[in-house]
Amino acid sequence: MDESQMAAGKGGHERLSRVDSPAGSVGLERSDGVAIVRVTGALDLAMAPKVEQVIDRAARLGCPVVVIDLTGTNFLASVGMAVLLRAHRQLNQAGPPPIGVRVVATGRTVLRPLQMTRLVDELDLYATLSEALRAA
Amino acid sequence: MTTPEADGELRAALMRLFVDSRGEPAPTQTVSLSRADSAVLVPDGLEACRVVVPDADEVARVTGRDGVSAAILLDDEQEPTLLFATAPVGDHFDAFATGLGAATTDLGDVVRRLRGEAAVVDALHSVGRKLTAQLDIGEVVQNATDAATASTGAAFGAFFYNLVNQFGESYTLYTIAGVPREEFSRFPMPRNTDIFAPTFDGAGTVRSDDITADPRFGLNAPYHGMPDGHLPVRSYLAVSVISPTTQEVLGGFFFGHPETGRFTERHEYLAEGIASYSAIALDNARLFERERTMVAELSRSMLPDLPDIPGLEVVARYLPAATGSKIGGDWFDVIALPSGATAFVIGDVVGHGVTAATTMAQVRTAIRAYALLELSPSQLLGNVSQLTTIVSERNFATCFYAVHDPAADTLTYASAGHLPAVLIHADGGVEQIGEAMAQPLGVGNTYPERRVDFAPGSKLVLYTDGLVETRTRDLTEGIDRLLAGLGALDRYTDTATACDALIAEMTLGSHDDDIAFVHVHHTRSGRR
Repeated sequence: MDESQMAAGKGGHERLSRVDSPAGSVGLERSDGVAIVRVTGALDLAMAPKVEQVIDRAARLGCPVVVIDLTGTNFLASVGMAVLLRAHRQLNQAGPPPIGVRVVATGRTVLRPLQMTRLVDELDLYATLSEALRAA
Repeated sequence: MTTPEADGELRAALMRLFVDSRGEPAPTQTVSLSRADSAVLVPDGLEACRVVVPDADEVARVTGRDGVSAAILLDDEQEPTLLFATAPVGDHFDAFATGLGAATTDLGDVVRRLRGEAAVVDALHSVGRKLTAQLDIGEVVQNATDAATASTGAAFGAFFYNLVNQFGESYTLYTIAGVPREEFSRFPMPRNTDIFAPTFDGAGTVRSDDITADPRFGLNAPYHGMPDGHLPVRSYLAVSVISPTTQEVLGGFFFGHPETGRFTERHEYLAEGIASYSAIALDNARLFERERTMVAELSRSMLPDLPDIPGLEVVARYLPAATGSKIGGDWFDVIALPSGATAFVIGDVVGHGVTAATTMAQVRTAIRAYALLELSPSQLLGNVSQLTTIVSERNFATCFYAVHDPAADTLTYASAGHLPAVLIHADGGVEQIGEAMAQPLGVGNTYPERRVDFAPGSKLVLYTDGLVETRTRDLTEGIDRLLAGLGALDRYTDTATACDALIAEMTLGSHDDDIAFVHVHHTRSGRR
């Protein structure tokens, strides 16, 4: 696990950490008061606990919104969906104030499992990161 | 003296010896010598780090330089270096330089010994790190044998794994290094003779310069020594591998060499070190294997005996994940209901290992209980979802539940976020049913149900994601492929064979996730 702390601090954007696993990586950034958890590669059995840890960290940053960006995710296992759902339910009940959880998901590889399990009904989904950041 | 820095210091100190009678530095030069030239100056040969005072005239002759008044030869292992003065040096030079030479005489031995020990530590460390990072018994044993054979300088080495037969002896040849396996495959396993016993009993290392001279050697019929054709062994080294957790002797390393006196104390030390790393690695591998087997057993033990239902031919398969500890979580069930209907269940609990397997067991039991109460699919999944939330806060499960009513020849089904089931109509038409009907168990509250005809000749296929999803093939692609494969099942006369062939084709023989699969063929009408 390689966790490096960087404070690039350009235009209110900071890269806070990044954890790599053989099949992917999860990074934490803060951009204009929004915590962004960026997952690339496979959100699988090996990755899920790491993503969960980073989401926990994101929640502690004190931002009103945590965006989980799955744009670069090419595999979403059921254990990964469980992480998304748990984050959604727990952070919405956090606080006060509660923390909003937005998920950026695009492409059938990630979307179809979410549709099949009807988690799309509950999760706050966006097609792109900028849409998720723009949403009120 | 083993670092360039130390070499520099020594050289600087030696240079300060070249002083004239007033104690002022005399002009000096440094030249590198070939090994041959240095052998002329010091016929006995230079030892590492030794300082020698050669004859100044000889130096002048070898170097071809005139006016050499005093010289020191220094071997810093890279190459011999000659330091010499070209102006007269004081009277004390010889005494000091010779004294220094005498003082450094033993240094070479010390350095060699330390280097040797550092090499042993290095070798052990790298072997240990490699070995203890593995979980596959076969690989651990082979790598350990290779490493130990190489580092003991043995002509060949073998690792014998302890398997006691019903007579209390005989061991299995496991791995061999240094020679082809065939060299040994002709011989019977080594028996618990006087020579081998200490190793197999864990009584301590046996090291012999010439095992054929050992009083214990050659006592046993029929060979009285080594069998004909056995690689000749004179030098012999044998080390037990003992489990650090159970103290059980897991096996023994044996090393041989056709020449006598090949194995030193250091080789013994290395072999023992590798043996203890191997023991840790084997322990790890055995524990890992045990946990894997346990979860596989657990999952398998919960598989149902398929009831014999007139008019329905059911083929069901459960394949635990082939790799790693991803087993546990998938299940299927076929339940004969009191009314004469039959319930078909397939499901998948998120996660892996014992937690997923035990959650699965509870969910499966809950479904059985509600099914026997003849709850409708909708009611059943609703109730089980509530229970699942209680059983496991962190987990959810997907599940497809269908009931075949033999009187109406219909299927009533509901799905908790499970993959779509496949309905193959009597006319060969393929239809997917139950996709995205509701959320998983433990997540959702309401579970709508639907009803379709299930006429004689129809088939119902249920499966879990391990069948369709791989690292290189997403769900959609996998499902398409399954549908194509199902359409071609008719080319087999036997359904079970057809299903096995389909699974093999879908997984290409390897799958890193559990697979559950149920194929129901409605062979005739239940209405009689």
